[in-house]
Amino acid sequence: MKREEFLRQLAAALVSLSDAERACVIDYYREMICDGVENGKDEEELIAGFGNPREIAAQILKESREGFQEHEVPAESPQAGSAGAARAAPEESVYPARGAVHTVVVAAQNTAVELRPVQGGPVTVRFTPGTNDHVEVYEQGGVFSFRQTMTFSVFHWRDLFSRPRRICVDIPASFAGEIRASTGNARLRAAGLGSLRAMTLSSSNGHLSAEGFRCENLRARTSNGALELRGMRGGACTAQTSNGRATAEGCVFRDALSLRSSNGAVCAQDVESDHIEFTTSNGSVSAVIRGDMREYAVRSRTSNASNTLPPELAYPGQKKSLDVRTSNGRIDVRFAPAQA
Amino acid sequence: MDTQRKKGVLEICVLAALQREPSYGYRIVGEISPCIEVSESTLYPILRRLEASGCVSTFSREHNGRLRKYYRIEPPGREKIREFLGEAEQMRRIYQYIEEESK
Repeated sequence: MKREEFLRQLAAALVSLSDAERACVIDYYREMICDGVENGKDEEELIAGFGNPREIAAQILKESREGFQEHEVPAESPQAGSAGAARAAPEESVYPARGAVHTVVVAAQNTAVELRPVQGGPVTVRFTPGTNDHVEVYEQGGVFSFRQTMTFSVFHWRDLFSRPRRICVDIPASFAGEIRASTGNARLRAAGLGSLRAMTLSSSNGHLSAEGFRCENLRARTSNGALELRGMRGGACTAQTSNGRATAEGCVFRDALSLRSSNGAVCAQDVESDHIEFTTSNGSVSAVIRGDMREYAVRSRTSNASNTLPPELAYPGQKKSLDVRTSNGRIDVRFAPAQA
Repeated sequence: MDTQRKKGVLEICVLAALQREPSYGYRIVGEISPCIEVSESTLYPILRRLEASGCVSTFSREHNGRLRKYYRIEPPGREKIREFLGEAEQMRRIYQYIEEESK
């Protein structure tokens, strides 16, 4: 049996244990497997040596009834200094990068990710692992990668009242490399970072936002959440959402700015770029572009609504372009004088 | 060995393995298995029990991009080893008596 299968069966056989206790068992066996494999043991042989997951679980359940849980301090009355208190209030874990880093990769599951600036120090991930989180960190050749996955996902009504789970990534002001961050079903936010070479942000069902920093090549993508860019600067930007609203405000991307949505509105205020593209299928497009419309080769199309732009207006020698498309929405794009 | 007694002895062996420095699951198994038979699955409840009774405390440290749980012996754990060793003389007398009577 391979490790994931073994751990899954073991976790399934331990459902009657508390979340914390079960996570403790899973972590223990996962660590045993990692250490064994690192010491040259065969993964499947090692796992066979543990015994049958159901028997292991039965033994642990029996022992836990008999005793090792009875000393645990209940969460309501934490006692200082005992081992139980540490579990009652899980502590934040800190994962700093050890060497020089040019690329940061953060992949999360059902957990919000926040990329935030710090003055100095290494790139550092801060996270309080929950009961069934699994965290993998590695660093190689300047790539620092943090991956959080969940062994299994159990919904508990208690989660509705607890603070949303969050992974914080501290990015030092001097960092000028690439960041790739992704999560599912949760918010992804980057704000106030310095000047990056490239950034990719993706979330499957969450809100995505980037605010107040410079990035030469920015890609942002979410499926069912809103997408927001504010005060961003840089070379090129592609931002895409399927069913959410795409917004850009006060953004200057020298080479290209592309905002796309399928079923949401596209809205841009005070944006500047040589090549601008706004696309949506079923939403409206409204924008104020800083610049002179005469410099732009304009193409626009909507099938079923009003349009403030000419369908096609281009002169030879124009170096800038504006391309606006929607099928069923209104197009309202205006130009305003460039800011001094 | 009778399971209840083995459990008690195993606890002491685990504590003994932690006396010099904190250690982790895989290393503990490797260290004590030449002296007493122990598997990964028997070790888990022992560690949890020692932790719950305050004989050991735990902390995590990063190793090869993952966290490894370390166990550190605490004063009640050291006390337990002293008690066990203190009983040795008494046990020797008991063994001697049983041996004599079984001749």
